[in-house]
Amino acid sequence: MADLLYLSLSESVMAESRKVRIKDVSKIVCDNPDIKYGVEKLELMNFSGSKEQQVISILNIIEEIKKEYPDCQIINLGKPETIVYYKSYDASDRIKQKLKFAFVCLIAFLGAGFSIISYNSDVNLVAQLDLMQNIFVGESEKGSTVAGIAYSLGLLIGIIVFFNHGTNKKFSDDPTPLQVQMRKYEQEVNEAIITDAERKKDIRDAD
Amino acid sequence: MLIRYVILVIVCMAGGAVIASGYFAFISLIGIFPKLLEKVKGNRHYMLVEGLLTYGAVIANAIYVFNIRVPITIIGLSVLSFFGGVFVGCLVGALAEVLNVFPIISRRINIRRGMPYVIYAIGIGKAIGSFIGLMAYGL
Repeated sequence: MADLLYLSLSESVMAESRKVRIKDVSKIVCDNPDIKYGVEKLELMNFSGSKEQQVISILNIIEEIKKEYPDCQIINLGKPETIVYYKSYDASDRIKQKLKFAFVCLIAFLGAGFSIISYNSDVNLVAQLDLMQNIFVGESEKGSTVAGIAYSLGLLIGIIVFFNHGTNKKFSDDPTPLQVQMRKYEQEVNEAIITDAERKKDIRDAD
Repeated sequence: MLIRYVILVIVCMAGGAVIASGYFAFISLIGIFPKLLEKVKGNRHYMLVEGLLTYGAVIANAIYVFNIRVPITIIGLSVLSFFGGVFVGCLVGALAEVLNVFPIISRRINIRRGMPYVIYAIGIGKAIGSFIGLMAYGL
């Protein structure tokens, strides 16, 4: 009886070295430990030059395995394609990344402030607080400080509850909204890369 | 008298909380920061960015509501306005993207290449339009 080999291809992986082996892109289960060990060590591709990403189809992997183990049955339980990313780092890149990150931090901090002010002045918030002072308390003293403090506190509470954390410690194990959006974006990018590679025929596929 | 103040405080606090969640739901749904973080490879620091969004909004809101004077001179103001402009620009671009403007337009008028030039044109047009608009208000 032929040996059954189960693969579970990941959606995308970051390669640690230029050489990509099957065990980097997939989990492998096989009854026969020799085959499992052999398949894990099989080399899929080699990053050369400045290439930074490569889409690999499951068919290419099956071909590679069949070359070594012709009478092995392969079942893939994961994705049909995987994307391998490879980044070579150097020191000047690090500093540039840090600067860019600081830039994004500034956009977040000042941008959020800028836009909350533009929202407040759009709805004429100060006048509204004055109005509410008149409605609920009656004295029409200018600049209702109590309402302003309450509104600002409420704003803080609302944002913290929404983001699920105020400092670097989360209140519960749920992912934060930004985290969810980031994962969603990552998946969309992966999908786009795969479709693009298929159109450009830049995919490692069965010949 | 006290009970009236209590009601006022409760109403204002609830209002602030609702506005804040709605506002930040919009900002995070529109997905500016996932893209920016992806660009600068800072995905690990999402908590820091969320914290900055939180306190940026809270501080600026306090400054606006209580009319606090923060003398940061013309240089500080221009830096602040610059980043505010970048943020609003990102918001505009992201809004167009969420509403699928570019895919639809490029399908309708059959643009395959040249999409970057369309985006440059939009950016330059917005900058000029914004400048002229502000001039008209006497700035």
